[in-house]
Amino acid sequence: MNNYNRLVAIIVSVIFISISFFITFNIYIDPYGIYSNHNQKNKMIYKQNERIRKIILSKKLSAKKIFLGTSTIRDGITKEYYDSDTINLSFNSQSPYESLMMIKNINRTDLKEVNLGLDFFIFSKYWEDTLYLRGFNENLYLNNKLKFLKLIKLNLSLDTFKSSLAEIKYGDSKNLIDSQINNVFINFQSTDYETFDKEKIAYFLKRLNQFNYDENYSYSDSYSKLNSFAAIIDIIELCLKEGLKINLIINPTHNSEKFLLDSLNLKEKYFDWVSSFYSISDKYNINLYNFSVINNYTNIDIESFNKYFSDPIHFRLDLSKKYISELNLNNFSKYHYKNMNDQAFRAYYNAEIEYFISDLGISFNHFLNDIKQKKFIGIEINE
Amino acid sequence: MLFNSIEYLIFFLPIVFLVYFFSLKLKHRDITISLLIIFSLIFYSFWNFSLTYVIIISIFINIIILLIYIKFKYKILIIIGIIFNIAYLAFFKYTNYLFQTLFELSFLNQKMDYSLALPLAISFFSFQQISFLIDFKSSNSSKLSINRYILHVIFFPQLIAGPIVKLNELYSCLDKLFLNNKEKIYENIFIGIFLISIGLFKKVIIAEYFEEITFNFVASQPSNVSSLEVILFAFLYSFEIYFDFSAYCDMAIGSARLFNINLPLNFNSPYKSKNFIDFWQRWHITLSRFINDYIFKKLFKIFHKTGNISFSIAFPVLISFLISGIWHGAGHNFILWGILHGFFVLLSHMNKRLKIFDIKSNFVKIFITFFLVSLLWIPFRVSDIGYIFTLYTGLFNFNLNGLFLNNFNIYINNFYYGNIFFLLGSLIIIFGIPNIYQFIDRLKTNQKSFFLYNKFLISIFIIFLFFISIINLEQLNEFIYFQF
Repeated sequence: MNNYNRLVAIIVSVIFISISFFITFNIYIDPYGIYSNHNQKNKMIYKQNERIRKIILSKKLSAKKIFLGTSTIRDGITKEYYDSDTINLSFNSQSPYESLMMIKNINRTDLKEVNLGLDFFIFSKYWEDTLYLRGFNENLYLNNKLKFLKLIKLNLSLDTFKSSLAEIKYGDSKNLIDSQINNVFINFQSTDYETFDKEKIAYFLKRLNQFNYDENYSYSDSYSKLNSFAAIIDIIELCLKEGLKINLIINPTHNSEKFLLDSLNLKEKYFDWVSSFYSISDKYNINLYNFSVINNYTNIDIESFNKYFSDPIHFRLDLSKKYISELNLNNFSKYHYKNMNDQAFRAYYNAEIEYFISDLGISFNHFLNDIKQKKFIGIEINE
Repeated sequence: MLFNSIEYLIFFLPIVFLVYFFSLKLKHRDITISLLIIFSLIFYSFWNFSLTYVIIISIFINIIILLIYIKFKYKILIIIGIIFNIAYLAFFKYTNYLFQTLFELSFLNQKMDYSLALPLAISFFSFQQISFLIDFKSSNSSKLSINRYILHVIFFPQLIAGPIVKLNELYSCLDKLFLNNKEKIYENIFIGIFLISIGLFKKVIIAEYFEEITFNFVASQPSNVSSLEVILFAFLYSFEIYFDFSAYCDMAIGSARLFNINLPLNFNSPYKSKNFIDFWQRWHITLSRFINDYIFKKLFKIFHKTGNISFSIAFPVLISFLISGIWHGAGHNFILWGILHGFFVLLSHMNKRLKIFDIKSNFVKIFITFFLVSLLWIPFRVSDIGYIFTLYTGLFNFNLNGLFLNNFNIYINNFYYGNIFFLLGSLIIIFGIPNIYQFIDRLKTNQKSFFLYNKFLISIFIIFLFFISIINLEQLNEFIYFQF
């Protein structure tokens, strides 16, 4: 054998063995429960591969109650506050179309209730671009059964490997649910209880600046020409047709975020957006929980902000505890405004902004000026 | 199919290689070539099966034209072939852009949407076939091997984004597929795997890192940008496109090497260029060669008749670069990019003759060229003409009051030593060390150096790069040049 011959043999063999080992290890550990039938509720909640993982979960498990929505619901509604028959199938930037596909995809044998979290931001052209460019193709998992190539791809990923290692580390511990929650929130809460940090504020201000609300935007996904509202109506009609209870939830957002919406002239669009759900709720006679309206929590002062929110649109466990109990009570209370009409909501909204301004002790014009000059509210407040 | 996909790396390439390797034992060349054609078609159709007909029709019509030309030797047939390829490319790529522009210029009363799905690689296989028609005519050949011609156009390592090969670089070299020298075959396989691993690492680990930052910047389109931000964005995008395109070229050349085919060099440390003329002899070399041979030289002949030397250089240069810009994409931004490059190439020519700026230091020359090339990548990356001007205007905004932090830092918010590693590492790779082909030359000539002390160590290096890259393949972003 000449020199290159030997080297080629070594390289090809080592690569082949390494890849085989890597895939076999991940398949054996099976951190996402693809191959084995062990109870996924005892599995870690991994942020890695969450789209794929939750789609797999939805196919495999039968639940009585599901939560769908974006990262707001994913981070806010956790296992600690709902029963064992509930699965949270929300994931980062889940579009209404993806929610629809999830419901179509899920094992609906025992399903009784669908809770759909709604975010204003997901109704943005900007979001569509992001989704399209950032792995929106993962929707293929919803439309097709998991194919051999995709399974290889999944098992040959560093994220799956990390998940496998985490599974080995925590998989057998008794108090799994706690470890799940700790794991999920490690990124959010490890540096806990700072006040507004400037990066978060800068991020949200930027997001708002580029926000381009479009109720009729269609998805880039070639499989569907659905727009966001059409997808939501399809979800509702599918649920009603199959006798499932459906709750629409407008997620709680901190008033600072609404204040920014106002200052960026998005208030009317936000009203229109909320109004649409009041109309939809009336038309189909379904529950609408508008948790975003003024209350003790959405209006929490800056000092206590981090107890209930990780940022203005992502609420934390303490708040979700409250909301879950509201959902379970299923009746009117001051924390949600199920039957509040559009006019009342607008009035509350305006009052809320006024309250927020007075609470901050800064004038609206002064604040607006800062926004225009790109001074960040967080920095100003901290100072 | 993407080069940086599991499908390609784990399944397609090894399977095709094994089939090719065993087909050689049949000692029937047509079978091997036909198998490679079939696999190349599968490779192409993997992207969008319904558009496979586009490349088949194009090849079929070109073959008909060539066969008629062989029989009658009418020069007009070659011209018809060229016009057909240009029209075919224009139809798929520029129809909608044309109607949109006519609407914007008020030639049309209502907006018309003729958006057609853009077939993959149409710019490349159209130019390659034009090149073949012209070279074939020049060669005075009276014989065409149809299966070799098809493989020349469709050979998968160079199909999607080049290099744009000439007749004598692939069609005439296909005998190398049947190389009999075992030592040479294994050397080619070793070099092929080496190039693929290096290319994969450049794309998956380095280019993707820069892509993350530039993507966020372009997506957010900050309106009030400072000079430092614009320059930083331009530099980061320069790094991104450098690693992206060089990665593609490495993987294309490496894949072809597995089949003993030596594709021409397409990328030769372009940021080490000392002026714009030098740059275009190092960046996308085969496209520059095409433009130079088939457009610039022809135009030069035409304009030279006017007798005015400046005129006979300026117009062909500007028109050539305008065509290069249009070739890259249907958009005002690419036209602007092409014209700006033409302008700077002209300036380089003038400076060469008139010595207006006589800079002695190579370092300064390289830095100035890199700086300007980076700024010219802005219209390449940003499609909105208005925003391009916002960024160029931002170059004169020297107010650094927090803006830098606002627009960039949130994307590099987890600033850690890894960022410094990436930036410094990229700078060293781009400017500080010989490129991969120079390494390979040293390797082949057995020149000892620190890095090439032991081929066994290189093998470990290859395995490491390949493995690290392949387990990070999750977020698949296509190569930038795939869109052309």
